[in-house]
Amino acid sequence: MKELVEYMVKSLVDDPERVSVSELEGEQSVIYEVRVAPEDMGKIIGKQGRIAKAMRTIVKAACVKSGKKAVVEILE
Amino acid sequence: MKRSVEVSGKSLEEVLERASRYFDVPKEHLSYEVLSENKGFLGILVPKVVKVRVWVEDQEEEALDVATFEEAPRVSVQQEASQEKVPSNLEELQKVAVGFLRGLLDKMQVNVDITVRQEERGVVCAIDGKDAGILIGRKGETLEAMEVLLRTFLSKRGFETGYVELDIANYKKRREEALRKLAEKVAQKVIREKKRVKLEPMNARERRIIHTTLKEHPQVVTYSVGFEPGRRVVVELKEAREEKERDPEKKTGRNSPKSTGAEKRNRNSRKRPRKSGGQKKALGE
Repeated sequence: MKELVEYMVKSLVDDPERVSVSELEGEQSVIYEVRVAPEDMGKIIGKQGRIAKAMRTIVKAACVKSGKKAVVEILE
Repeated sequence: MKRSVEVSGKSLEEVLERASRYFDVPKEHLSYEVLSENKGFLGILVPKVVKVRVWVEDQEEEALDVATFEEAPRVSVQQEASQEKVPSNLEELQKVAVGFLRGLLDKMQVNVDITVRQEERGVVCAIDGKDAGILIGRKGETLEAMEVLLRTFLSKRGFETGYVELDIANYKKRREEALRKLAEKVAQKVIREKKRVKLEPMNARERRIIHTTLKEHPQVVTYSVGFEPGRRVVVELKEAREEKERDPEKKTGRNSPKSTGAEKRNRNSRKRPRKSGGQKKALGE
């Protein structure tokens, strides 16, 4: 799942080197914290959060197979 | 601000065709609202005219300047459109698109196949296989999400993205058929019960399917109300809509939250004399 988040974020930013995704495991869910270069923030959020929403939807779909809830958070 | 133009033409299809050339975006990216429709009242005497407000859903094109539609030189615009039909880097585009999807789907750990085909409307990346159901999502939301990412990914690499579409297990076609059936059913209901029906919120593509299905319908008209993502299609009796346009006063009355049946009856009876006066032609027919 972490690879999925990384893959999506890296394919959308200008500076893939500065993408970091950390995984925080909870009992029922996993939180993925995404950090990118400040110039790339807009690119992974999108207009009206369109891209961030799309990424979350895809992660949610991928969870169907793994069975564990995943949350994507974008941090400044 | 959204760019929008008012276009008139013989049919909705023709209007959208012209608008898509004018905005230089594929028809799928256009939203529209039918302002008025004149189906040739007496057949020959009044020409068939449909007036539509069209705007671009996709915000990327906003930087372009606004001009009235009539000013656009038609011939040159047509030439541009035909050149654009087949991007020169088509093969490249297909390869990049499939590469991106393959990576995405592998990381999602789903078991599916990807095929690419060239259709009239553009490049269609079709996904099918055992796990296709998961990838469609509720009301196709996962499919939409993947399309958003695919298009963003491609446009970042300089490809023409309005040209690319994603389909999973033929979902779009099945949905289109379901929507067409729904449209016909709702039209019947509107005629039977003589009241307008507001459909569930839909995205631009789905709304367009409803509009195009009913555009030639002799008794009902369609238009959209509200804002994305809650924008909804309304199906209404044609005569009721036309009456509203002639009499804006009535329109405000209808828009008020709730009017009781009694009020409606009163209003109708008040309007009746004027209506019969205004439609002498219809009576003469």
